[in-house]
Amino acid sequence: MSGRRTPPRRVLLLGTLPQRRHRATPVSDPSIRLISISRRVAGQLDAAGVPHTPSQVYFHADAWTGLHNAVSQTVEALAHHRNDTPPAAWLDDWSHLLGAELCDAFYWTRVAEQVLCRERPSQVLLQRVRASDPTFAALAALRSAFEVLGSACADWRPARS
Amino acid sequence: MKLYFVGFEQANVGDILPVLEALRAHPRLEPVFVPGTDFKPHRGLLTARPPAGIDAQRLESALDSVQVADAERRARRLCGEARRWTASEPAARSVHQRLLAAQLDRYVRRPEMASLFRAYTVIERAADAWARRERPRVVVLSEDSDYLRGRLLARVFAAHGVHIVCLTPWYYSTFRSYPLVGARQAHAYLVGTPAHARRLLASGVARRCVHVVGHPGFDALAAQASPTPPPGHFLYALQGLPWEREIASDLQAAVGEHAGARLTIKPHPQLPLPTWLVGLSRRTGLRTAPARQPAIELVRDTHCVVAQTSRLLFEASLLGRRVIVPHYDATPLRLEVPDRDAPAAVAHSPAELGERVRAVLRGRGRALSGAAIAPYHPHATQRAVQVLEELALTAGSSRAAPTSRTVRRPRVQSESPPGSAGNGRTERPSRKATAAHPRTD
Repeated sequence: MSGRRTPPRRVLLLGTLPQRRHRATPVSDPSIRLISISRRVAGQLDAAGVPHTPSQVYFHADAWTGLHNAVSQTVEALAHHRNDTPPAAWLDDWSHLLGAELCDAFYWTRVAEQVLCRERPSQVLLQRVRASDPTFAALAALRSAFEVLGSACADWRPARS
Repeated sequence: MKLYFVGFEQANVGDILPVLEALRAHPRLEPVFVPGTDFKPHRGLLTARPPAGIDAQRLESALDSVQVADAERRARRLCGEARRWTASEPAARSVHQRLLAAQLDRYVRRPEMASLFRAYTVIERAADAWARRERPRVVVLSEDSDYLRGRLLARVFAAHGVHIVCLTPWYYSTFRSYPLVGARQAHAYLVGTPAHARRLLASGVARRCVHVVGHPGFDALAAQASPTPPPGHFLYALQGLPWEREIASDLQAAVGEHAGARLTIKPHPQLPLPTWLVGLSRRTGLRTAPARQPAIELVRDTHCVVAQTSRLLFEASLLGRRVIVPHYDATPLRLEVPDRDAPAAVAHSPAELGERVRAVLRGRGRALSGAAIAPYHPHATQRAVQVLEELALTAGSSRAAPTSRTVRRPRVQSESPPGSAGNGRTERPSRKATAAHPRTD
């Protein structure tokens, strides 16, 4: 045992399959761990023989219940953190609306937390997609999550080969 | 005895219409419809239209111009306070609290916030004045969670000692992603499915307060039953959701492998035709149904309906059609698909979608289980009326505690000085009163 540590890798979170001519970059670069963030792209990467780790390996939830509970507890804690009124009453009245907006954010925060904990990446790369892309919201939520967790992210776009 | 149906938004009126019509002929109960208001970014605020032939009132009819102006002043103050409060929130203790504070801050700065705050305070004030005027014993709400409807109304009515019953429209029963945040506030819940009942029980609601009644809005489907065509025709219903372009393309590829099978796309009746659909149709010969063609006509000629979260999945199942539910996200399924049906119905990837299509064409597809998605079908209306009658006629005889631990809720605030219109008293929510929710993760 040499005791040499494996240098931390970069991680690339991918929502949409790049075109074939662009796939070589993350695959051929051993310093990049590819993480698929949608089931569709995971299936496509498998079919294309591209190694990747599905995001569900880092955090998986079959149901929304745990996330709803986390939102409930967070809203409660925040309401009791401040002594002002009426914001506390307003916060309770609006709590479901905020919860509906936050559930996805809490989900991706759990993913981001585990990615940082397990991979300790030297750099976090997030695929840059158009607003019309179905994974745009998930990637935006991941970006916010990594920022709140104190980890800067860089955009990744496939380079033309 | 008047039974007030308060705060139902336009999209959910159809779900309770059979109940309202049945109650019109009831010997002891008289339905009164008090419309709710909802907000959508693409069209703003909308107040529901009362159904024809049902007595109706408006909450705002209980307000005079002084009270409306007072509510509007409160809205401006509340909006300003909320903005200052979210902007000044110190570094919170946890990641989740920081996310919530950031979300709140983004929220209160949206351009529509001023009109939403106004709607919120006017409805709050109107509900209070209306309750003082009408002195209802029982009100029926659609839910106890929405900021412009159920949760706001439940808080205001509870302060008047009104017995609150929720008659849940299809949407709230069917989306497992719909969060139940905070303590529940109703005295009784009439829900569509056993799964929804379980979610309420898990959130702390007492078993005696939850009644599964099915979906009255589906009862009329029984009269529209038709023989299921042989396997071959697939119908994909668009909803304006992410992934539709990919799903349509994957479906077309999967169906196109089988001679004699065909796919029709059903556009959403209220959304413009997506530009990607025009290109896909041109390239592949994909057929698109006319936007205004009634869904029931399309389902009549269909063997299998494909959709992400559409109500059509449930209607088609009750009509004996097969269904496929593509779910390409990594997040949990948003729709309540019965556990026994999920392995055969849900497709997480293009490959799984192809497998589901092949299974359907071999006669092994699946409809969603009727007992799970629509118990009491096609007699849910009768069941709902029976339960409402029992609850309404016993409501006045006892002051039953709400389903969760009693919460001291703030009363409606007024901007006017004490002694003028409005009660002006404010109560601080009790710190220990809100029921804790069991951890499940």
